Amino acid sequence: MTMFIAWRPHCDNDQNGANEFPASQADDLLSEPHVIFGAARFDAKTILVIADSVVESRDPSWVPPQFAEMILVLALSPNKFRDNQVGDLAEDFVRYRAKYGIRFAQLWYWREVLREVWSAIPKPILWGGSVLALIEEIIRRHM
Amino acid sequence: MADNKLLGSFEEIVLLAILRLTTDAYGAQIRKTVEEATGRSVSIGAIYATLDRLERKHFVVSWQGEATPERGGRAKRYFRIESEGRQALYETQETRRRLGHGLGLDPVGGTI
Repeated sequence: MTMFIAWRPHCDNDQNGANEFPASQADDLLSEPHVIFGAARFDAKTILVIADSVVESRDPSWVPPQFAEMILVLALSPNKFRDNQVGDLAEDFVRYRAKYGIRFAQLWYWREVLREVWSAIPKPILWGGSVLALIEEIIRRHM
Repeated sequence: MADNKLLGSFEEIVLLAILRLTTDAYGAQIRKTVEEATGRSVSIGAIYATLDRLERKHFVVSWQGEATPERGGRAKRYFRIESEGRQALYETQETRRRLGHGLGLDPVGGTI
């Protein structure tokens, strides 16, 4: 998404008539393929369409809670499938949002994030206290 | 040798889900299929941990797919079962069938 937005040339006439790109140059820029994404080649016009659709669809009520998403990314940070997982949960969030409403979708998303955070915590940290207590008990019995 | 080819229960379920989904086997769809089949909620992390393990065993292969707006511009990761995966699935199911044969484990108390 960042790539798409960064790519957008400022060629529209704004209210002051000041353009970063003159229209003629912008047309030249838009007429040739510029970006290779995977196996596909996209021309700049296609990139603009995709960028617009992405920006429009990121209506705040249709995206997962940003704070929860940030925690999720941190919890999954050493994971090679991290972006895929975050994307899968975002896709499911949209599905639940459409089916059950925003409140349900947000609660569902938070539950998923907490599950991932829980599984990311090294279990010896959680068990450490009880293991120490067990060792202490064994020592006490044999003294 | 043989034990390396045997799958855990969850690995088996995930592989079957990939087979069932054919060309649409990516994380969210695999999870949905597994949840529908088992009737249990499964975390996406558990699905990917299993997929990662299966990929390291060369039972599946994965590749990056398209990024869609509802995914926040993040790409899907598609999975496909390899011949080693099919073999492992077959051996696991055969082992279960051999061990369970004649034990009367079906719900009505008859033999399998």
